[in-house]
Amino acid sequence: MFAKQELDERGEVPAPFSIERHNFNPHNLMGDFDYMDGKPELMQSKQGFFIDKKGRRVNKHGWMVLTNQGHLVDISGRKKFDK
Amino acid sequence: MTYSGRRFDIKDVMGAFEKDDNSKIRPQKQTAKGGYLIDLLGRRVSDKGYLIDEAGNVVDRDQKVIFKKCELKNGEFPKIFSFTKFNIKTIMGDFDTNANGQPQLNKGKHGGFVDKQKRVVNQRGYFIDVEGNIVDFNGNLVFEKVILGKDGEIPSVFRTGLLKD
Repeated sequence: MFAKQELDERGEVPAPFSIERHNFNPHNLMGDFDYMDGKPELMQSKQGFFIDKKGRRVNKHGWMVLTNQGHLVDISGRKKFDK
Repeated sequence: MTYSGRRFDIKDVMGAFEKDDNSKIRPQKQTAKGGYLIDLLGRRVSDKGYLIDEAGNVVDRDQKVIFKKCELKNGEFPKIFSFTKFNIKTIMGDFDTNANGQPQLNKGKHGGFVDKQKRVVNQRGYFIDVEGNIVDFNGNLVFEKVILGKDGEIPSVFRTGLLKD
């Protein structure tokens, strides 16, 4: 995507890509929940982990996470944020 | 963070929705008052699922404007974190400053300003393209003109040491 000479001395990609790389739609990272008074109702697995309606692991805030690692992932399972 | 560097919780600007089988949000349509989209709580939302006001600005639960409509790109606002990397030197021309920190710039042949290396800059000393957008030294677009201050200044979050350089 970028030629070597386009990277800076630290290997950083050129702007605006370096700024926009973190752009995302938060709904693609949020689990699927029922809502009570505007707040998502998180469910819990038998083991006590937070899950959404589709049984996907989420953290206490409702963001989908990679099992056993805690990294935030999107609906495709792609890691978006390191824990 | 907002362009001014104010921290906010992204969940405060997100509508509440049912999702389809593909986990895509399903906004509903308010039919009585103009057909705009609403969330499960009846709040006006954008097609991207953000709370908005009548003007299309992204707002929080208290209707406080977080991002203006003109600052959105394809309906998305920039996601700016404290770990977002930004090096202001990549957009800054080569110039001296006066005692007040104001850039000392030369006039260009066709109006406007140039730096010591005759590169076109705006009054704040940032590289610009023909449309006044701020670009880096490779000519890549960095900030669209619409988000700059009247004096051509970039948003404060990018120049106040809040981000990683």
